[in-house]
Amino acid sequence: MDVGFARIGPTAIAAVAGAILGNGGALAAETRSFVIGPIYMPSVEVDAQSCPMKPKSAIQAFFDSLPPEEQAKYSDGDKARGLGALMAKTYGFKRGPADDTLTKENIAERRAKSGFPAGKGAISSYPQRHLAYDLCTNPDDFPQLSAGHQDYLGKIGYGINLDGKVDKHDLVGVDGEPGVDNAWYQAVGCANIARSLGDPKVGDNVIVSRQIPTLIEVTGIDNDQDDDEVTVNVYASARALDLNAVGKALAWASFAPVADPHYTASVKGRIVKGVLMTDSFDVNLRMQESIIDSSRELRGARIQATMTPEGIEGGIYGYQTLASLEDAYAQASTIGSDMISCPAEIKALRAHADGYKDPKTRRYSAISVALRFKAVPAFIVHHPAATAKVASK
Amino acid sequence: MFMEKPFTRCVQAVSALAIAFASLGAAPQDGEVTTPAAEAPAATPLLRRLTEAQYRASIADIFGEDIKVAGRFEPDLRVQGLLAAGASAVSVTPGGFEQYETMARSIADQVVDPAHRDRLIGCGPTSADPSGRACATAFFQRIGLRLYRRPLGPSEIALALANAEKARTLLGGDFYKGVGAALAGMLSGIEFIFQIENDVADPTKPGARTLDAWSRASRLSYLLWNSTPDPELLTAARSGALMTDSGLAAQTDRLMRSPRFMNGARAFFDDYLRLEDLNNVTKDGLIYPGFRAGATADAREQTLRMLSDLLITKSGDFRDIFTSREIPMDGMLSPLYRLPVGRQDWTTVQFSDDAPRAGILTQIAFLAGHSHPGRSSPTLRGKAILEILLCEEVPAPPANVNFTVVQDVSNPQYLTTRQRVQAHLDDEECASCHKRMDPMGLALEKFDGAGQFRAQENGVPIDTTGAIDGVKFDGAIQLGQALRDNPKVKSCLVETAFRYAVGRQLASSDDAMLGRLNARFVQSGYRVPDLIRTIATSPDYYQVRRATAKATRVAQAGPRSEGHF
Repeated sequence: MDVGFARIGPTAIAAVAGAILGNGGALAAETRSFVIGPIYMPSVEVDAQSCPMKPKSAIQAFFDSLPPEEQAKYSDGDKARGLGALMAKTYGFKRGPADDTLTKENIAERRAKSGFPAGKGAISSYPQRHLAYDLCTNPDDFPQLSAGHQDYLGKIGYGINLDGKVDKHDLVGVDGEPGVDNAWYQAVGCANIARSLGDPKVGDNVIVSRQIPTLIEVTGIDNDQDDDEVTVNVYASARALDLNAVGKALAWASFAPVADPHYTASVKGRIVKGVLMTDSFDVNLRMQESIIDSSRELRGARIQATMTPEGIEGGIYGYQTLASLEDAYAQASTIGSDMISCPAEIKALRAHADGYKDPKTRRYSAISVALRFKAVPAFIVHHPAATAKVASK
Repeated sequence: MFMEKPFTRCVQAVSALAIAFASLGAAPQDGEVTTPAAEAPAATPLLRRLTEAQYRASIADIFGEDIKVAGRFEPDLRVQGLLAAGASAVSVTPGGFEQYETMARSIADQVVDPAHRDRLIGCGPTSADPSGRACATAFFQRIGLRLYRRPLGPSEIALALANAEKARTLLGGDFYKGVGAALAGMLSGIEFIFQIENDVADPTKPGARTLDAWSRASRLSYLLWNSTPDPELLTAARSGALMTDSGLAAQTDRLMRSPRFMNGARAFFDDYLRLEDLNNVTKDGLIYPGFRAGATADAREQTLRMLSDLLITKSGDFRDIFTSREIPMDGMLSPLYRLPVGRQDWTTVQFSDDAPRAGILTQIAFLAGHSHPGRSSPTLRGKAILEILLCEEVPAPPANVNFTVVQDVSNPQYLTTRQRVQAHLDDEECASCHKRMDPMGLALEKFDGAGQFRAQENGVPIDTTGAIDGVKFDGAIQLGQALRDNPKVKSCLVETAFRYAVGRQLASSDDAMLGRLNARFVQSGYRVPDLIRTIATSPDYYQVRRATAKATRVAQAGPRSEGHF
C-alpha cells in the first residue's frame, strides 16, 4: 500500500551516508553533493603598473566626445543624469515595451514590427523582457564609446594553466603557478566592477544566480583525501537557493536538477590531498541574476576545489564562449553604462580571446577565465518517485 | 469620518450592556433555557475563555471563512501545563476587552456589508415592516443561538433589538448599520468570548447536578472540533437528546467521524505537548544558521502532523509516539535533519533502523523547543519529559544558584554539556532535583540546541547513558523505548486528556473517573480516539462538582522555566 512516503533516490541516500562519515579515512564509495552560492571572477590587488589608467565608462567616453560648451551643461550632478538620455538620443538607442512573450525565435518578427534597425536589437532586462537596441546589444555600432579602455598589464592573476604552455603573455597564479591562462582578466581586470566584485573578500559573500544555482555532485568517492577516480556531475537546479539565518547559502537543502541536457555535464576526476581535480569538460552554468537570464558556457573546463565537511570551494577554469559573455552584456543593456563601456569591454574580450578558434572566421570564439566558487553540502534528489528509507544523522 | 464617533459610542454602549449581563455569572434563565432545580444549590458556573484558535474557528463556522478576524488576543494562561486548564482561570483585562471589541466591530462590519448581508442576514426592511424589526428579530434569534451556544431569552432578544434600533437612529437610519452595532455588542460580550457552563439537577442521580444540554453541546464541540456547536448538535441539545446516554453517544460519534475531529485532536496534542510555547523560541543565527525563520512554526506542524497521522488517522498505539520512525518532513526542516526530500511541501519520510532518531523526543519541536538560543539543555529537556510526559512536579531552582559553569561553553576544562552539568551538580542543593531531570536530558545530548545531530561536542564523544525508574538507556532511541514502556507515561496522558477536556485542575473526586479511563485506555490498546470518546460519552464528564483542588502532582509551571539551565 502506498503510504505516501517520500521517495528518495539512492544517490541521495549515499549523500546522507557521506555526510555521516565524510571527513577522512577509507570509506565505502559515497557521493557528496553541493550547491554553489558565491561564484565570480576573482581579481587581485592592482597597482599603477597593472592598471595605469582607469577605464572610461560609456557615459564618460560620451561626455568626453562632447564639445566644451555641451560638456558645461552636464558638469554638475543633477544635470549629469541627463547625459544618458542625450547619449541615447544621439546614437538612436531604442527600447521596446515590456513583453514577456519575446523569445529568440520571434525576435526577428518583433524587430520588424517595432521599427528596429534591420537585424539589430536583443532581448534585455529579465524578467520583464524588452527588445533593446543600444551600446550593449549592438556594440559594433558604437565604436565611439570604446575610447579610454585599459587592459590589465599586471603579471599576477587567478587561474590555472589551461593550455599546458607557458608563454610570455601568460599570468602567474596567485600561488606562483606559471603559465596561468586568464585572458578575461587581462581584458577587463582594470574595470571598477571587475575589481570590486572580484575581490574575494566581497565575492565570497555574494550569492550569484540564486534563482538557478549550480549543483555539483561527486560520486564514487572511496577516500575523500586521496582517490584516483571519481565522477563529477554538474547540474542546474530546478529551484532557487535557500538562504540560512544569516543570509548565506543554506546547507543540506534538497534540490532536483533540471532535465535540460544543455545544463548537465559529467566528467571524471580525482582527489589529491583533499583537492578535487577534474579532467577537461564542457559545461554550461546557468546564470539568472538581477536583470540577466543567461549562462556561462565553458569549454575545456576543469574544476580544482577543496572538499571539507563544510562544503567545497575553489575554482572552475576554462574557456568561456564570447557568445555567452556578450549575451550577458546585451541583456544588461544600458544598465551600468556609467561604470563600464560595453563596446570597449566587448572589443577587448574579442581581442584577448585565446581559445577555440572558429574554423570559418579563423578567430577565437572563447576566452580563458577563472571562476571562484564556494558551495555548501546539499542533497541532489534525482528520482523523487523512487522508494527508499532514509537515515538521519 | 462623520459617522465614526456615534457608531463607536453606540457599540460601546451595547458592549457595556453585554458585560453587565455577563457579570451576573449566568445567562438570563428565561425562555427555553433549562432552570436549575430549586432544591439543590447551583455550583458556580465554569467559565472558559475561548482560545484564539477557538475564537477564530467559531467565527469561521458561524459567518464563513471569508470573514476576517484581525486583532491581537489576550495571552492564554498555562495552568498545570495546559492552556485548556488556564482558560477557566483567566479573565479579560480592560486592554484585552478593547481588542475583543475592535475585532467584534470589524467582524460585524463585514457581516452587514453589502458583500455579505444577503447571505448572512438574508432579509431587510420591507414596506410591511419598514423598520426591519421582523428581520432583525429572526437574525438575532438565529445568530444568537450560534454565538451564545444556546437560545437567546426574550430579554436578550429585546435588548439586541433595542440596541439595533438605537444605533440605526444614531447612524442615519441605516438598518444594517444598526444590526451591525448590536451584533458587535454580542460578539464582544462575555457570553460569546467565554464558554459559560450551566447545570441542572441530574435526572439520573437524585441530589446530583449535571451540565445542561446546551453546555454539553459546547463541551462536546470544543473538545472534539475545537469550535462552536454546529446546528445539528444544537438541535440535539434543544431536543434533550444530549441529556441521554444514547443521544450523547450518537453526537459524539458523529463529531468524531467528521474530518473536523482532526482539528479537535490537534488542539489537544498542541496543548498536551505545550507546542504553542514554540512561538517564543528563537535561535542564535550565528550558532545555528540552518534554523531559519519559520522553523519553529514548521516544527510545531511536524509534530502535530505526526501525532495526528499516527494516533487519529491510523488510530495507532499511543506508546508508538516515542518510537515511530515515520515523520512528516518539509523543505524548511529537512536541512536540520540532514534529510533529502523530493519536494519542499509536506511529505512523510521514514528513518532507517540504524538512524539515531525515532519518536517525538527526537523531533525539532521537542529538541529545539526545550533548549536555549545558543546551546542545548539537558535540564530543560529532562524537565519537559518529567512535567509533560510523566506529570511530575519539578520545583523552581533556588534563587541564589550560580549557573556560570553551565553557561560557559568555552571552558576548556568542561568540553561537554554532561561535564558542565556534573560540575554544577557538585552543589548538593541542586543535585537533588537534577539527578532525576538530567539523565533523560543527557540522553538527548547528541542533538544540539537546534535539534541537529552531532556525534561529538568539542571533539569529545558524547555520553548519552542514563536511567529512569530503574530502566537503563543509552541515547535517544533507548530513552524513547523506556518511556514507551513506562506506565506513568500512559496514565499521565490519560490525566492530561481529562484535565484538557474539563478545563480545570483535578479534584480528588475525579480519581474514580481517572481509574476507569486508565483501565479503558489499556483495554483499547492505548488508542487516543477511544480515550477521547470514553471521556466525551461518560456522564461523569458532565457531572458538576464543587471545586476542591486536588493536591497537585504537577508544578504550576509557566510557559517556560526560566529558572533552569
